[in-house]
Amino acid sequence: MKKLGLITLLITILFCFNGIAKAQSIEDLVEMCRVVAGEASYIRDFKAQLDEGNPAPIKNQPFILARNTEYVFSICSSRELEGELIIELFDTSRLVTTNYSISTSKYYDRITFKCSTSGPYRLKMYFKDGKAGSAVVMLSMLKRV
Amino acid sequence: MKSTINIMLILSAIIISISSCNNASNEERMFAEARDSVNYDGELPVAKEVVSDMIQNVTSPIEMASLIKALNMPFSKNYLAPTDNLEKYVTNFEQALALGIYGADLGYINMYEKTSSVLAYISAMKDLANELKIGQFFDFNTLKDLATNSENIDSLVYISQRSFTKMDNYLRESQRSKLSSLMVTGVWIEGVCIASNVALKSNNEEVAEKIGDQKVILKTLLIILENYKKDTKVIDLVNKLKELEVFFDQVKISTIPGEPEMKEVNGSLCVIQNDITTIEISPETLSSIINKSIAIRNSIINQ
Repeated sequence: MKKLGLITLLITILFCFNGIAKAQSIEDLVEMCRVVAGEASYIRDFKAQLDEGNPAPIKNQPFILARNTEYVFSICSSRELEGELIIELFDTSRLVTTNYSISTSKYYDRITFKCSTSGPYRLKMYFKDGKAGSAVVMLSMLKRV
Repeated sequence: MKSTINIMLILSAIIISISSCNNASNEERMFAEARDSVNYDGELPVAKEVVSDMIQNVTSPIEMASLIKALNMPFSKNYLAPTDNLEKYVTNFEQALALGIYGADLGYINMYEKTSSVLAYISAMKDLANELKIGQFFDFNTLKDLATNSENIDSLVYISQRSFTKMDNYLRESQRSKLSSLMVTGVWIEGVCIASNVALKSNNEEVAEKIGDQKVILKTLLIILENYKKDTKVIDLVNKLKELEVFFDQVKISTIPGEPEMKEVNGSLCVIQNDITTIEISPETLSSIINKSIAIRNSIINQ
């Protein structure tokens, strides 16, 4: 009986520590994005932590990109929440690209973008179907085009 | 015996409940930590009102350095700001600008893998970051360890950049965006200054174009800095940058929009923008921009 109690205690401790070890922090997501970015040099990371909502809550992140540069956007969503991050990149007048293809329902966790116009861009970030989510988008620089 | 088992079961229950509380509070913290400003789609993709949020991404310490390296321009220590005069930077205004300048220099040193020069710059940055109460985000010890081994250059670049991002983020999150703006202004002015020195030595057309291309960034920086015009030191800096803007206004940038091209390569999406941008900058304008940029930067480091 005493053994049973001890086993229960050990299993509980293992369960708890295992749970803690698996919790994904923003830092974990940044590290995941770094792996996805591969050989590209880190420039910046953007957090998207949004509640559930209808319409889907949106985070806008403006920034500047430079021409003749190949950028990499790596996208990592936390597995602890349902939301999968969709990003849309706009220049000053139009949508340039997105990581989600509606026609094929395919997500891309890595986009390389050969930029040919320096200036302000905007990253629109939201989670598919307005689900709550936590994600990181990492902007890296691959090389000069 | 029974009481021992009971104690163990109670202990287990306590651990489980602490663990669940922990998970719940982690989740809450994940949301509260960076409570994002949730917006619904605006009309303009990049409106003037949002430009002031742009400061975090105006320029990065490695972008200009990376271009210069890609053009096979030789490294020169003479382009860098001295690190033996830290006592000159007394106010937070001066310290934030200097931190940006050293950040750009560190980016340049890292790009050229001149790890022997790293220590002086990370030491200076650590001191300035401590003065600005953001030293906890500057991973000095790791950077110092990495600098002793040139095989770690990727990690050195990454941790340098990431430390810079963390300091910048913290300044903005703690209502000190003015210092963040000044830090980024320092990065920018030093980047232009390094490119200017390279242009003076090499007469390279791409470097000249890259300098001309900074017109866009200067305009953005001025919009941001004008938010802090209550500070007389900022007014003085803005006035200097406006004198530089006069020369940048003579740079002609024209863009013919193209149709973005997308294809999947090895599971990644590759996008080519296909715009055609031309930058026209006369030798006189280039010379004026170079001289003015160097003068502004020197006025910051020799004040």
